[in-house]
Amino acid sequence: MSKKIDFLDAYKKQLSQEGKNTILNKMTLSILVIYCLFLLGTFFIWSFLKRDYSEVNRQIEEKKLKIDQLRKRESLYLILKKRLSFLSGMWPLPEKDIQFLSFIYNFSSSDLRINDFKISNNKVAQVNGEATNALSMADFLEKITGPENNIFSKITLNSLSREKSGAYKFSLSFNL
Amino acid sequence: MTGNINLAKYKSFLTFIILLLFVVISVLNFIRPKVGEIFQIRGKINNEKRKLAELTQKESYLNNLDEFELNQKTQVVLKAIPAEKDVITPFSIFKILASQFNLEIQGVDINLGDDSLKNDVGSFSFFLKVKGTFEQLVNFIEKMKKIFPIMSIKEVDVEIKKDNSLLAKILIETYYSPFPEKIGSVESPILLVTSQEEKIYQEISGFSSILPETEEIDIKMGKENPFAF
Repeated sequence: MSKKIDFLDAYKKQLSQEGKNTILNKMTLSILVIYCLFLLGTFFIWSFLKRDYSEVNRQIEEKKLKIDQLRKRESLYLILKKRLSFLSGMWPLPEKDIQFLSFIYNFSSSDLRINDFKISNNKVAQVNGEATNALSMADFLEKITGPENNIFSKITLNSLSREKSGAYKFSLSFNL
Repeated sequence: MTGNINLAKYKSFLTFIILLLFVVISVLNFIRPKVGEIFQIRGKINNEKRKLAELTQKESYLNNLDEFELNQKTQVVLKAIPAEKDVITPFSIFKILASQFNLEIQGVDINLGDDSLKNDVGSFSFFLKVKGTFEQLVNFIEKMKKIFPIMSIKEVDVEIKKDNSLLAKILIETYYSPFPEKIGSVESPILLVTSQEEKIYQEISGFSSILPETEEIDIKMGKENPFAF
């Protein structure tokens, strides 16, 4: 039975411990450096942004002041803009009412009489009249439905009645 | 003696742990809120920069407006849509136009409506009864469409009499838009006049006033109500 005696065992253990300590020290130092860099970076960015924010705010205040000096101009502009945008809702001004008035009135003759007509909102027109006979009635209907009439899109014959005298009373609606 | 040796042995480890703890606590209590603040400030800066860009645009737009031209244009639109609910002017206009075209006014009814405003514009209407020939009526309506204030013909009801004269009932709507009490915030964006609106302005600038011209409106400057006349 022989027993080995390692005289370097303690020395090896010491070396291993020192190695561990060195790694730990390096890690500590690295963390410290990274932390400091991060801290400095954060603080730098924060202060830079704060300054930037103040600068932008200062510029905004400056602009507000300048715009405030143009208040009269702005108020005039608002009056103009508001009215023009309202008018744009009702533009172009309808022309069809006059066209329709002329169109329908010109049909009045000895054979055909327009008694009354009504145009509402430049969209719908209603005409009441009477024709002395069936021929003039047919002639009137043919003329108003002719392809040259582009004032209205649709015509509806609401009523047509024959009187004892042989005259025809009619009521028409036009979609302008 | 043994304790001293042990402490020396764990010195590096303890330093590392303590540093780690310090870093964690510091990150949680100082750096994390600061980073949050950084993001918040960045968001605010972006918003403020957008606001600044809008204000710059507004300022430059207002600066480029020719005040004389703007004043003239405003006078024109104020004639088209007055600031006050004026019922007398339309009455006078009907009378003048009727006499100009030899129409006989048989009656005028007025519907003042409520004072509610739609998009800051209010309206009221007249029901006008006139008698005359077809040409007189057409001329009357045509002229009515090209005068100040703007009057919109909503309904025309024509009865043709045996003597071929016409009895017309015309429903006319006219408008007004009171001056706003406040212009609004400096920051509120300015809406640009569109090309269509510009075209409308060109069209209405050719309209005429039937009544004698009154003194031009001058908007006072100052810190009070800039709309006060």
